[in-house]
Amino acid sequence: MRKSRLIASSIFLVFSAALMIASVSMEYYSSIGPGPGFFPFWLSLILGLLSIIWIVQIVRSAPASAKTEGEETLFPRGGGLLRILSLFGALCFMIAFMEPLGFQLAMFAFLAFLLVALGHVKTWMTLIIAGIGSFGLFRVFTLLLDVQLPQSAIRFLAAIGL
Amino acid sequence: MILSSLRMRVTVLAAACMLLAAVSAGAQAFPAKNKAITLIVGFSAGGSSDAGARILASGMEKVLGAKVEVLNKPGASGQIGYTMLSQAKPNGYTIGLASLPGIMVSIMDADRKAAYKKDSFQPIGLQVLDAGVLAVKADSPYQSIKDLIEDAKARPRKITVSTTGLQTGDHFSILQLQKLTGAEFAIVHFDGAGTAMTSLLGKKIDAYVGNVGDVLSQLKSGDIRILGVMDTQESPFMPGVKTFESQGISLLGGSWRGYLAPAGTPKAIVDKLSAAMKTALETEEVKSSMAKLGLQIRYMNAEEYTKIWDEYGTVVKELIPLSKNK
Amino acid sequence: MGFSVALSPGNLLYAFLGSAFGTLIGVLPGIGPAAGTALLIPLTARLPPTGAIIMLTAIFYGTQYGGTITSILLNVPGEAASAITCIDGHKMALKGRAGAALSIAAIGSFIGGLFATIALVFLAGPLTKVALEFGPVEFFALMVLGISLLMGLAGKSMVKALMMGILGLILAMVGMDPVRGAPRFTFGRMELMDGLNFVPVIMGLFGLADILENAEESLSSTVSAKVGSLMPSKQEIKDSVGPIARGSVLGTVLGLIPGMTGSMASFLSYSTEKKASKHPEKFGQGAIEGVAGPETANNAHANGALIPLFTLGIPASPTVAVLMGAFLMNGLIPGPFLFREQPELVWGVIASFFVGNVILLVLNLPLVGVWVKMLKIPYSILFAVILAFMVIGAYGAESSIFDVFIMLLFGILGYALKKFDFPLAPMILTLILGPTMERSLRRSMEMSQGDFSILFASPLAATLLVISLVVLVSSALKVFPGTGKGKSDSGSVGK
Repeated sequence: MRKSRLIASSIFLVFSAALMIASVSMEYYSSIGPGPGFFPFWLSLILGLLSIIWIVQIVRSAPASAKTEGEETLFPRGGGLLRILSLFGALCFMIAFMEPLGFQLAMFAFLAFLLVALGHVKTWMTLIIAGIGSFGLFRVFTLLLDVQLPQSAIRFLAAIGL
Repeated sequence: MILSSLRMRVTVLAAACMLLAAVSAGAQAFPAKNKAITLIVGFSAGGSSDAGARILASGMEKVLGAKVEVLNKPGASGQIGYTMLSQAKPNGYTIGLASLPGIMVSIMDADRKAAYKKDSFQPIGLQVLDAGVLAVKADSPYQSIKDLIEDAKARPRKITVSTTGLQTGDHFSILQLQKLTGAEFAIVHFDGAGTAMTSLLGKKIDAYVGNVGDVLSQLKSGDIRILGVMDTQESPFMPGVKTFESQGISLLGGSWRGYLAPAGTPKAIVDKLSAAMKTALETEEVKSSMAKLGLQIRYMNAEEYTKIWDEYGTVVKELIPLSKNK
Repeated sequence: MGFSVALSPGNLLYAFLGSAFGTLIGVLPGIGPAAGTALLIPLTARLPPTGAIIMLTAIFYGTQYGGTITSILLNVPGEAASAITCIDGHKMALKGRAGAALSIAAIGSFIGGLFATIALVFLAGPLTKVALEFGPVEFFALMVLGISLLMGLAGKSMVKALMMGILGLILAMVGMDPVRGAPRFTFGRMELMDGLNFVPVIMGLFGLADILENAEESLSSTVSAKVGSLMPSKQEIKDSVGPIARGSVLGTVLGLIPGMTGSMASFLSYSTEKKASKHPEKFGQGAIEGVAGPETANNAHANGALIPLFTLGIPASPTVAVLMGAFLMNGLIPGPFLFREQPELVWGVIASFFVGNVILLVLNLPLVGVWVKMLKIPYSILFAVILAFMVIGAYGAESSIFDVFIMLLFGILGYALKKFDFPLAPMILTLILGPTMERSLRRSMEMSQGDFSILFASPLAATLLVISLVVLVSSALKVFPGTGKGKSDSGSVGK
């Protein structure tokens, strides 16, 4: 509990320090008032100060409550973590493969994986939903709504309409 | 020996002929049946760049007999679309809208880190010149450009002039005006014509620089006075309004919207596209749609358009440092 | 005289079609109001001008009704202007009050739209003068006032609320600097030069973060929200009266001012309601006021934004600019002279706003029952559908895979922030107001060439700045006597 909050507050502190360093290289003030670096500098400074206040709050308040709550963790482990990582992985897959594979194939695989692995949905149901969600939606969006969803970059796949 | 060299020559000649035949056949066959031409527009759907492109696309479809599909890739003032165009196959099936001076700025301004250069593109033709205008409120004391310039010289950096955005055509027009006349303005960058015009009508700023298409309503209602059009000829949408040139200042400004192909696109195909564009722009349908939107057709073929590219490129290059330090 | 035009069978049909399409565009991901309206322009090409304009304007204000639905039911905002509705609307859905939230949103939208239209008819002239008072300086003062409401958005810990507010402002800096054209925090990515796209950011912060949290427990056993009664209770209606009234005024006024967006209207309404509420602690837990106010405000904004189009010929927002294009395509230049030249058309179109809003209400109230059925889908399936919906939504707006990445990034951030009990509202508020605040300040500096006194030279701006100071001090007084409380809170955070 306490540990993870301390880590989080430190991340904020490091983040604001990094921002501050980055903003120093931008022009701070110009002949016509604040330059590009003016707001980033002050904002990162304030964020840094606030992070420090938060750290102080955690350090001061924690001892009593830390005992009562024990070292129960804030973030899940085991199954929960695995599920979150699977979601993350599935989205990364979409980001990496939506353009090369085309929307329809990538979305079909994405939905099928999510429904089977995380939703424990029956196979026939999975096929129906993933089919509608990928091939069906592609047609609705590209043909009716003119929203451009990617076609496959692989030529023979694109040729058969995927 | 002689024989063999002759044979070789014949072979080379034959090969050359075949190649030529193939190339011209390629142009003849362009565009192939059931193959769509993609027109990349680096601006979002619904804007005036997009509207003009869509009108042209539907006109060219009829001329070419092939589908011309508009693909919007907005972002970074068109840069995302230009990057995509520069990386497309140079076969004529991918072309793109280019807005001057925007595309030149993205090339010349080192901060923009563009992945393309001027010669990454092959100009096809110019469609629209949305000329710049300098406007003041109807009750403003300035009756002519001369009045404004004189006052700006008397009180440097006190007269406020709006642009519709940093490094837009308007911005470069003001910079050029300053350079030509020696006057100095306080340049205020808005984001779009709407907010800038509101500020002009609310007397928050002294003068407004924008495009013809954006001020027609206010001109009609009599809320504003146009001091000059930045073109060599009067705008058909505001007859009787003087040009800058007629007032002794040779200033050409506004948005030039034309079309590009990736460099290396065969000349025959570029010419075919350029001709199709010309034919489309001469049809009544395209003409009237564009006129309604206040878009002035200014067709130029590939050669003339390339010339504008080069000239405007030089102007922009000189003004870039100024545009970032004001 | 306008009603005879608007109520003719043909025009009634166009208003109906426009309303239905608008609602649909609002519900669907990946297609915002501007793109949606632009898309449907060709559909209207063969209609008579009056019919075409009636249909397109109906599409425009119809989108504001539709955007709410996914915010409340799925915690995924369909449009930027409905993002804030996620906070309390979705909480209401979890408590089985989805039907009530949707009904109140529809009723509020109706009243807001009606109010703005009445303002257009009777007060267009004087209101336009108000709009013209807003130059860069006044814009800046108004943004400062908006951001001063930030402290009122704090949950248990003021420090965390402020941290989020500042983080939002920092995120608002991403992109090309508005005066010098220098890239800031873009990491060399072209996609970031125009700043972060708002829709993928909020989809990540709300929708994706929600799913990640639900994934801690098994996704196949999580229950979707209860359906519950569809009608708002008497208490809920009573609580909504004030927010709807204030939202109507706020939305209309902001709609008048070119450059103010619908999301600004809804966020400012939310902040105002929380500040005005006698029980601000209920906000974030499913307070009906947090739905009624913003949803009213964004509709009043949509209809109010049409006022400067008619009186000044100025499009007040990107979507109205698209609409203006449609006017032009039909050979009409919007502006005050249109009332003289084509009175029948103008009054017909304005009358159609009344008709259209009535149609939308009639269309949407019965649909509430249908939409709410969505919650009967088992969560084991629903979560995947929501994810697909978000991927399309993030990608579709700009056809950019990068935006899907942004959504993922902000999903993880949102999840982590939730774990540490950070309130999201302050961050989103500043993310929306931040860019405009910085731009208008620096624009003011361009006008005065660096002289700060310009900020106080305008009476209106000075008044707004003084009000912000009062708001800040009063919030601070509320907070600081309870500093000790803040400390003990942080100990019990995130259990």
